[in-house]
Amino acid sequence: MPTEEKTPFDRRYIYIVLFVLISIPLLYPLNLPIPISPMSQDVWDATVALSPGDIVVHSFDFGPSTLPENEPQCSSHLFHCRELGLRVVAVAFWAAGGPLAHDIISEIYGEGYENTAAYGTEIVYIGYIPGAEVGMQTFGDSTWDAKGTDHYGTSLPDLALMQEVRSVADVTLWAEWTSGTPGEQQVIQFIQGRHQGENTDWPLVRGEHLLPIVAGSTAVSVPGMMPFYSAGQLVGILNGLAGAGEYEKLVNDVYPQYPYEQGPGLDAQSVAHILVILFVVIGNITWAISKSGGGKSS
Amino acid sequence: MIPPNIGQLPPELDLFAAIFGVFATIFIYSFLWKENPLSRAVEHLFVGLAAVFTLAFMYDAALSQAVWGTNRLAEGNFIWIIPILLSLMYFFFFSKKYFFLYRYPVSIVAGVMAGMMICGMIQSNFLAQIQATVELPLVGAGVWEGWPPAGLNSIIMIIGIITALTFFFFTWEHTGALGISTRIGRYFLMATFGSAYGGTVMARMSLFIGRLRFLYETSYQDWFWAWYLVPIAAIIVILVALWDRSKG
Amino acid sequence: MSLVVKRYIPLAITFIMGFIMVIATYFLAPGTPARDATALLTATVDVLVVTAGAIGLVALLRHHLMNINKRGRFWQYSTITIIAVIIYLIIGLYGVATHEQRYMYASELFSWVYSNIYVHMDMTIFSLLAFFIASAAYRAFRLRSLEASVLLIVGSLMLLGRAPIGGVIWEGFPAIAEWLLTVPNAAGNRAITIGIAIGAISLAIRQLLGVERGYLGPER
Repeated sequence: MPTEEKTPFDRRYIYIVLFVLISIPLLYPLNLPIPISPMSQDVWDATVALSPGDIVVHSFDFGPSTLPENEPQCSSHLFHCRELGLRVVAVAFWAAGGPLAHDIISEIYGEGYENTAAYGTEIVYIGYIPGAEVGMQTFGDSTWDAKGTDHYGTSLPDLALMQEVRSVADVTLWAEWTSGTPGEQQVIQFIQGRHQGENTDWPLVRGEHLLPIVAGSTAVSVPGMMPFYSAGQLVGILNGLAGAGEYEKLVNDVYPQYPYEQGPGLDAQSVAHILVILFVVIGNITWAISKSGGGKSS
Repeated sequence: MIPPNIGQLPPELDLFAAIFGVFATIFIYSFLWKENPLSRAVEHLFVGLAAVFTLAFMYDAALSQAVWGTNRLAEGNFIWIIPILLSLMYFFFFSKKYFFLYRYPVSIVAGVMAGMMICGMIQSNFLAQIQATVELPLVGAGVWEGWPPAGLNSIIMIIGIITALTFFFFTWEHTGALGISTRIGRYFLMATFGSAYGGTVMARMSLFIGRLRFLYETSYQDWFWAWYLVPIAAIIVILVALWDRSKG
Repeated sequence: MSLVVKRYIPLAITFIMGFIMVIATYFLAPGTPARDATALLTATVDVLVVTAGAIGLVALLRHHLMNINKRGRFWQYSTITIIAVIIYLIIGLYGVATHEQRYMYASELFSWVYSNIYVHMDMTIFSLLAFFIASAAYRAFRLRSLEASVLLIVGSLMLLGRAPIGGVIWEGFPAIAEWLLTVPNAAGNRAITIGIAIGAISLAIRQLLGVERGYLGPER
């Protein structure tokens, strides 16, 4: 525990206030309207611009700790891809993401999807690709070299879809779900930058055809992604739980069968943000009072 | 040939998962009040499971990369024995006499990563960023329309990037023109850290909200709701904490 | 053993590996056999990267076993760790014994434990940070200087703009947050990105040239 500045009351009261006040909107949702941010809209626009049959890589690079943010992001985007008739190659460069991705894909494509006819033609789940950044570069250069078998033990060349995806040049869009390293920056460095200009269908950015990457990330990393977003290296970003809710809303508006479930969570998020701002304000007021009181209270 | 499922698990396990989830959540949160035997126990259980999971993914990944699949060891490509043997050399880390053998796999990984880093960083984090800055729109149709105009944003960006970069110059003392530049750069960096702070609060709160939603929304067959167990778990925490204190 | 085998050969390997990677990127066209060979090289290195964690694992188990043996601080809890390891390992070995390709993860119960036991604990432990950040907001953030004020004001505007409540209070908040994120933040972060690139490249070059040798471990 860090050493504490002496404050009028125990930090545990703050914990209780946080616990109780955030619970309220979860039990009694406020149904606040959510505006769609331009970054989320960019993800949507980049996805609907694709034609049926185009190949999208979904990269599940997160662990259980950021599941509340990443799971609704990638689920809604994966559903959107399926509805648009896009073919999906799913991978995970995080070991912890391997099993999570299986669960998420099963929810969208149905339990036991790996035994259906769609598996190998519409969707392939390669599973955890070892090697972190090195694995990413291998996958971009040569998909068959990056992993011997898929998540379920089939050799990659035995899957019809993987016959078409020999390197990243065969991919139309990269969807990166991340909460750290390797993540979007490593995809930009070791895949996008390395393979620029290899597919003329990719959009032109500063005179070069760049693999379009959309990212969904925990809100911590989003400020750090901004240089890449404004340089066109990232096409769109889903920013934390808010971005997940926005994309879910966009999908839900067009496909009502996909439920919009993040409403209560975002209401709770609103309460949490207001609370944190109040804590800062109250903390500063008490600090100012104790300072003007000549240090009597400290 | 896709044989992932060995045996079918009974559905009642979902109930057990919910019960365990509630107790684990409350026991871990009890750490916020005071470290106690229950929070410590869950913590150690977590470490044990994490260790085996780490072992499993290493072992499975090595198998699925080196042994099974087209052109791998099982098909008679013996080149894949090399990384397996080199991997085993990591264990010389624990030997005093043969420690130097541990350096061989490490030096391969370090060399490959360093080579990759040079190429990747130059292209994407260095050249592309400078190019994107140089190409920010200052003149042209629509650049000075709307509010805030794109041209003004470009000017702010350029000033911000250059001044913030000068903040990291340590060759000369930060006085005179360089001093003014670094001072402006410092405000841009503070705005950056402010955004990072906002993002951090957002992310951490989302995780906590995720946990609360688990407690309030998890159910099993309409008769069991996870939150029924929250007060029971809390009482157990209090009793164990009291017992722990009485022990001294 | 001579210094050559202990030190110089590993340093030479590092240099040669890095050199191959750089040459392959800049001088070998995609699709050529030489470039394909480097893909095979990185594919084999993938195995080395993933198994590097084994050392940490052995060290962790050794620590807990020794703690039990010596009846050290909290040794009872170390037994929980070891029992968890043994039980989970047996579940995983069931997969190895029964699955055609000998994967641990093929054991249904193994993946169930991950998704339903491990995930809960991981998520909860990480979410503790929410409480710490809330109490830090109260105790640590002080408007001591203009710089601190900029940080706090930008942070607060981001919080207001990125949650639905901000737009309800005043519809300008989301636009301000978006602008702060994409203009001043992007500028500062781009400077940091360029700085990191310079640092990483120079570190990589030092490593390849053998100036930086920390990764080889202590002199023995």
